[in-house]
Amino acid sequence: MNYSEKMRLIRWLSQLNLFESNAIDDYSIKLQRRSTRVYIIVLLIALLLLSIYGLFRNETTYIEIQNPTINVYEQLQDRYTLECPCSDVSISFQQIVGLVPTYHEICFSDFVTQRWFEYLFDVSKIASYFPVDFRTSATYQFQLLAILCRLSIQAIEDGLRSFFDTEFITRQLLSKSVFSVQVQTDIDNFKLNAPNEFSYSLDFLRHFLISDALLPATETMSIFYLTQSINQSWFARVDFDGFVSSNYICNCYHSPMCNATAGFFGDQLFDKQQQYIYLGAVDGWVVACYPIDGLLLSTLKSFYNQTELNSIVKFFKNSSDNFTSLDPNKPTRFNPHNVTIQTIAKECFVETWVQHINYSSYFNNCAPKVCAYTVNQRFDIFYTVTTIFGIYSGLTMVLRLVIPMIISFLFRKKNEASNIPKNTTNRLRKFVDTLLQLNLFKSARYTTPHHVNQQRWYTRVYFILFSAIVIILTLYTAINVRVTQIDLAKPSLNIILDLQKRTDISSLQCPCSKLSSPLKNFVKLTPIYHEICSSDFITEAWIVLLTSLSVTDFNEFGAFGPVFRLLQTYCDLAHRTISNGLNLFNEVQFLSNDLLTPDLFESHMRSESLYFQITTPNEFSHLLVLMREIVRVSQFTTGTATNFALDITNKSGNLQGKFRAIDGIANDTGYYCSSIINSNCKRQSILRNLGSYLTFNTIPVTGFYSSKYSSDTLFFSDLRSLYVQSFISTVVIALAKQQSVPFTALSRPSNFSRNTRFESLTNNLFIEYWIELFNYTAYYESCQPLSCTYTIRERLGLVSIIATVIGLVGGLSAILRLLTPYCVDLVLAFYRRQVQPKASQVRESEGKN
Amino acid sequence: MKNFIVISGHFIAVRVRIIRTKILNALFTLNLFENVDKPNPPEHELIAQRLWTRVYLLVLAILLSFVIIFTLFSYQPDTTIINKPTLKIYNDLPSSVDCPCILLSIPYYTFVNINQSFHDVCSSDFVNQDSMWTFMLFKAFLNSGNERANISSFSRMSLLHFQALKVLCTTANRVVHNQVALFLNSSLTSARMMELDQFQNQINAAISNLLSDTIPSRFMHQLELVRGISSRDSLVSAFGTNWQPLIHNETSGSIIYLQPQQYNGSSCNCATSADCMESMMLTLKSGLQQIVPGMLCGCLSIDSLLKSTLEGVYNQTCLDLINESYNFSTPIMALDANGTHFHPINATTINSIAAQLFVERWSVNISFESYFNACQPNTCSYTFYKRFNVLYVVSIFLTFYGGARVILTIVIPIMVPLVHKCLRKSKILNT
Repeated sequence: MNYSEKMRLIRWLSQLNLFESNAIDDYSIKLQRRSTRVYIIVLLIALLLLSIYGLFRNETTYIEIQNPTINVYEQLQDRYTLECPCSDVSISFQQIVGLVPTYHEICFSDFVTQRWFEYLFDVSKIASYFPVDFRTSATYQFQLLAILCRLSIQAIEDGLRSFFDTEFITRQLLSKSVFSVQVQTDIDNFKLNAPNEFSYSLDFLRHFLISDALLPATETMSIFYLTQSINQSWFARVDFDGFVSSNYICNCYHSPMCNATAGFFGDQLFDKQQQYIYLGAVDGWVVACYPIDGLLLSTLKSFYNQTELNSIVKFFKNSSDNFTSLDPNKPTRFNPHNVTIQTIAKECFVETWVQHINYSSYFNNCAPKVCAYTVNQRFDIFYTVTTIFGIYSGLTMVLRLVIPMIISFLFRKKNEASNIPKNTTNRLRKFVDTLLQLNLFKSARYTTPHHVNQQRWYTRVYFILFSAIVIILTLYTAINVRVTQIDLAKPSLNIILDLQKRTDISSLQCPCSKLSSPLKNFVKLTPIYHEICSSDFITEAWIVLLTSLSVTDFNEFGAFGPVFRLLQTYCDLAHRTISNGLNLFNEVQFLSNDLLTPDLFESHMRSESLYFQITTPNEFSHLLVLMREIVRVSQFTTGTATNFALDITNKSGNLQGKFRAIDGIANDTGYYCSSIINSNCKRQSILRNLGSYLTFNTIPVTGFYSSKYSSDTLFFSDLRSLYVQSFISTVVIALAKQQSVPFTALSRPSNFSRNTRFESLTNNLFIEYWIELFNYTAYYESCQPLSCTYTIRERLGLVSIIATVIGLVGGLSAILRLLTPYCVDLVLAFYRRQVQPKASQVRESEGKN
Repeated sequence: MKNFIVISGHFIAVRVRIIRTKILNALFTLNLFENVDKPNPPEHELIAQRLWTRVYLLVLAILLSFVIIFTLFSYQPDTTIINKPTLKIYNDLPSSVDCPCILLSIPYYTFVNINQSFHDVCSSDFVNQDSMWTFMLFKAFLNSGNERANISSFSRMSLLHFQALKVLCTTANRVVHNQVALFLNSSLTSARMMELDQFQNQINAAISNLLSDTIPSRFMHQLELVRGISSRDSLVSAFGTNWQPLIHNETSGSIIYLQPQQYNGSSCNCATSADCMESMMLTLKSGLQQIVPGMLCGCLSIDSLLKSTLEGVYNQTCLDLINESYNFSTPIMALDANGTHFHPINATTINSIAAQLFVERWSVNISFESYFNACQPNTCSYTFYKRFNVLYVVSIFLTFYGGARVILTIVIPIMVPLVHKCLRKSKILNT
């Protein structure tokens, strides 16, 4: 831009006059130019401010896509939060997840076949091996292994089936990442739960067998001996076996977990140092009182090596049979050298999981017909332009009217102040005059007084209409409640809590950046157990005290040792059940798309925790009932020999042994009760006490009832006597052979009444109550919301009201300016047509007169 | 009359012509750029103002029609909020309605009711502890002795058979009640009220999964585990059904060896197989032996029971034979075969009945109304994105029109001469 152009621009600017009129005197022009400058400056400033406001005002735009394909969806997903309602809300996991386990090769090997079981057992054999001999338990152990394999696989397959049947429910299409996280969480939960339950049930059963000292037919735990009494009659005697391990000889009756490395033996078991003389050891294989316990402690080391296997096989009858060893080259996550079968069974023999999450199948199933997203635009050109246009027009209208008035008033004041006396009535009159003479419909062509008058009327009508509409509009915008969506970045917990308390906002949503986290992060459950599980009554000393040898009746309290040992076991089992359950519970992934409010969070956690508290004891009690019932109906022989007899009869010169079930109990009323048909056979327990003059007197033990199985005895009995210190003292005096440690009776207050049977204590896992701690802050931290959105229903602020009204005013006035003259003309024309005939009549009558 | 019409037709034509000329004239002389404060402007100004007017009208019309079309076709949210809706109101709302539940988790029992009827045999005299039947079997059992020879006789084994059946019935019943109660006490988590289809889908899926899969497979799995461990851990039954003592050496202190019981001749022994079993034999009054249909006995009564069928209890002839051979004073009646859906009776093993937990029928009631009442939505809201929102169009139109009018009145007087100049320049350049 050169100098002359600059000068021209300056001149043009200085002479710019937007308020030109007929008055062309210097003074008027000066005034007009001043008005122009003020007008332009004020307009520019106001426009600038309003444009900035308009530009930064949030506005949501809604965009819809019909029949989106997965590609379109994924592209958009990166940029916007899409909402795509599924046409089918529920989809079974079958369709979206592929999950195939592979199992340990042992489950498909020669070692779980009937041929192997039969090979290991000689039906024609009529002699026993030593308990530690591999041949004693082998067939049972491998049959048990086969059962473990079968049931593990079944547990996994059942679990999988029911998992696949589970419906995955989504109302809205989930994005790939959210979907993967959610499905993975479910898969992980399943993988964690499926094996756990099985291994827990197995542990439970093993403890049950031990607690009643049920006799296995293998001569590992006990052996029947033929004995002749003094009067030449034959009877059978049961003796308990044991094992030597690391120089320690243990007995299955006292320590049921005795075990030793299995091997093959000749005629001699021990050398002079009481060490086993192995003809050949089966490396890694263990025998124990029960076949199952030995099996679980064993490793499969020897069965991975064909030569070792052959050397085992040759100890059996016809070594011609061929058995193939396990393949050592097959990859396995269980090291054959040191991983016990127990560990493998705990994992349900699962080697690997082949997993596949199918997002496209999910997408096709969900089949969204439409996807929509809202764009929260600040710089919506269309909106901004219309706003600025509107505001601009309104402003110019207002400013054009107001500024010349102010300017002329300011400058006229100086000149005319002296002429006219300052008087309110004068001023008012002048103001009214100005109002009356105001003409916004001035026309360059129609300047006659008649026209001017008409234009003034237009002006008045226009003003009335205009102000009426503006007032209505202002009131409407002021009263109208608007829903605005507000985004909040990086909200702190306190801010969210404050927002949650407010009642004027709704749909507060704070999407979690971490969708799932384990419950342990924010829930802590602590059980408080009944004092019995920490009392003196489950100590070894008490159990030994009650293992009196001079017992003649099964219902004597002196023989309650196994019952209290069982109690000890149940306490232990209960602890394990709880800790097992708690481990599972802690690992349960808690899913939340959005941060929950503290109330909802707490109610959710409470119901999760309550459900856990109800289900955990329940699992336990089902298995317990089933086991007790099956033991009862099969009348398994017990180590205490209370429920059977081995009768020896002389049949045609040969001695013959036969089992006879002693199922019945003469109960307290003397009525014979058979436990085969009645599961409630019991008799009041008694304490045999050495009375004066060396006579025995028996006293009933309140709350204790005896039965053939220790488990039944325990479950029929209740706690009453254990709260009475004097009774405890009596027991000690009656049974203690020497000075005994003092035993303290129960005393603590409890939620269980004193006549609560052990059965219900056990079913409740001895739990008095739970301490629940829910940590909302920790929940907030694991959710990690990056932003919150909420909608607020609010009236517009002053600035917004003004902006809206001004925006509309411009257009409104323009339209009114266009329409008013026509409306007024039309009304006048109509009015005239009504009035004219009358007027002519009047004129006629005047003429007559 | 005709004349009048002609005249009036002529009259109308004239009027139309007059109006047309008037309009054309008005259009021609239309001047929106006149300076009201400067009447009677010179002719060239007037022509320029008229030109501006035409350009102005054209541009305005284009802009405004664009705005109208744009606003008419854009989607605008329209949110409706309903307070404390009743179910009736809720049902009439569109499916996109959003109703947050007061309770996040609603226990199933508030809106689901599950009932079942069990197999007739579980409530029959066959398993009733106090029935004459049980008493008779018990008496027969006591009288049968413990001879090895009668290990498969009806008199010795039938009591164990029916007691095992009773155990299955009671445990299955217990499991059903317990698991159903557990399920009903668990909660449906839904932050928002589900619509009817989704609700029905989800609840039906959950219940059918529970009833046909979870409960049965759990029960059977536990049962198999208990049976498997107890029989393969070689536990000895006091009934002598799986192991028998064998005295080889008749000297005091010698070991009594335990020999596995053999079944089916000697083809199967209890040491290497848990599934050894043979048919139960009934000794008739005549002393003849007869097979009891469907009833098996083996190493453990629970194992052989599961392989048996219920054929016997539906067969009155068979029951009559039993009544007769034991002189039962009150003859027991067979069950009605129409009362069960487990058919065919002679081929359906008790195992497969147990796999359905002895349940004949499930009846499931799901109440959407109760669910609604438990959810208790305080407010429901739905948003429609609508086109053709007249209020919105008018307000945008007014705003836009107001601004455009003012801007055009300034821009056009500047732009028109500029464009004119440019055109002239290019014309000069071209020529």
